[in-house]
Amino acid sequence: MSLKLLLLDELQGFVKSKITIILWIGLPALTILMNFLTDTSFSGILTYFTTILATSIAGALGSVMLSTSITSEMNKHVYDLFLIRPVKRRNIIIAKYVAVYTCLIAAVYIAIGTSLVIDTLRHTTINEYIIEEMTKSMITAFFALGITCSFGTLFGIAMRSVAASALLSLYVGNQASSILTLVIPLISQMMELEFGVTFPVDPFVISMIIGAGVAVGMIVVALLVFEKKQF
Amino acid sequence: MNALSTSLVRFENIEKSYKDTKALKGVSFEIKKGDIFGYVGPNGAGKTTTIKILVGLIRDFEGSILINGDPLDYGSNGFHRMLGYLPQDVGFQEWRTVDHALMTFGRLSGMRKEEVRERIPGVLELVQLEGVRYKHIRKLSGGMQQKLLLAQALLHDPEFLVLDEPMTGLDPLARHHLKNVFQQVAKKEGKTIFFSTHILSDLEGLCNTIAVLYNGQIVKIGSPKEMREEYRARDIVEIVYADGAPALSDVSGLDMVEEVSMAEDGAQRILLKRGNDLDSSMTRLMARLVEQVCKVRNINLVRPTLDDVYLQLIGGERKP
Repeated sequence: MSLKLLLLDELQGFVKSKITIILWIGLPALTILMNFLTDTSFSGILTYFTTILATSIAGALGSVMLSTSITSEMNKHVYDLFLIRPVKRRNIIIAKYVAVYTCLIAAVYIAIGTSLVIDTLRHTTINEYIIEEMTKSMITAFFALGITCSFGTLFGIAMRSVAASALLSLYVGNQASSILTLVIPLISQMMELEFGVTFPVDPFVISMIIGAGVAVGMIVVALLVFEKKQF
Repeated sequence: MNALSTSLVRFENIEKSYKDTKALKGVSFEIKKGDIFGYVGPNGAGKTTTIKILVGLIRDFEGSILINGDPLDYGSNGFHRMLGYLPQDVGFQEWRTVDHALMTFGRLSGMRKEEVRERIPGVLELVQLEGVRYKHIRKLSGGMQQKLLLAQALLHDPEFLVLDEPMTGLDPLARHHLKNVFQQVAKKEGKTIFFSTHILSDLEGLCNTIAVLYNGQIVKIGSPKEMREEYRARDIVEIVYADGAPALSDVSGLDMVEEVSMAEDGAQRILLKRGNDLDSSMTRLMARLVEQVCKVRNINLVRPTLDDVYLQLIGGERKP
């Protein structure tokens, strides 16, 4: 009960926040801008590039938003008023994580939707291979954002300085998400090219499993740290 | 009926350390049902630490706390259901309106949405915030936010109110109003209040029991009356004379008088020696005033305030 209530509450808060509004308006605007910049010379698929760009920007802003919001709220003792009620401690953090994550996914998918519309208007030929790659990119975005947000949550809880939690989540979170979601497909490609060895399982699937594992693992660590906190 | 039957909260030998600093050194006391219990001490004495341990914000401590005779349980149906807490120095999520914040806190306290909606106007009226129900919290002054903290503590009609420095940041009028609110909820609604402060005047006429905490230890517990009596400083009689009338000049033979002085406001102050019977001293003094035909407008016995008691306790030889 308290989780649902907290989640709806946090969603309301983040939907009203300036960063979310910037993401929801800014990312589609960037997509439209890219359309104008690439109109004459670009022959690729705008949607594909938008996915990568939007995920990268949303991941960076999202992890910073989450970490700074948690650190500053802990410094201001905002959670005291929640913790003295019959509320499970972990629900406070889970609600915040899911709320930010949902806002980010929405922002990325709004940008991707905008680029799909642009691609359609530009009569770009979208074949089956491109659709498969785009789907993979969207799923990668889903997991990459999960990782950056989980790091943002952990640093938000562990740090006392807002600046430190922002910097750590920005650099460590983004680097971790890039490495975990891109490194396995890269290794598999290199192995195939250099040694002719193919992975027994689709490397994309492996990297998604690792991504999900890391995100869940980081959140569990963050929840354990929060459970032990003395306010 | 045993002693524990009226005890709502019992602290037993509570100890808490922060790295090298021992914040609480074996604190033991009990709060009885219906008490307005004042918890007094200078800044850094350990008041907020005690309160945070009680409400579950600090769980790493030694000793035990009993609620209604049972060990403290913070579970979903435990102590938090009966607790209303006004913390010191906390912030709200400022994107919320007053109404939204109260709705959230009420719901998290286990109330139904309709119940919270019904209760909000009454609570806001009680703390004099009825005009700002739909305002954003970031637009409220510090004093208003303090009142909102009290509103959220009272919202779910808790049996036990824990107030950590509740008067901080309030103007004298608001302080007076809040004192009336506390009296109202304690006397009319039968709530138990645990109230910490370092400003003794906040407790005057409000608390029936006071515990003085100094340097992590309880140095005194008792009713305000008992404390005044025990720590009574020498009495002072203040006499105001009619305009231009001469003051009492001859105190010879009045062996209970230690010192006579004139205050800047024109009143004469007669310091009585310790250990004399007050009633007989006053009778003899008034007889001398009549004898010397002094035109007296007012005679006032200056009794020690709680501040005087407090100063003696933590500033004098009795401190540990």
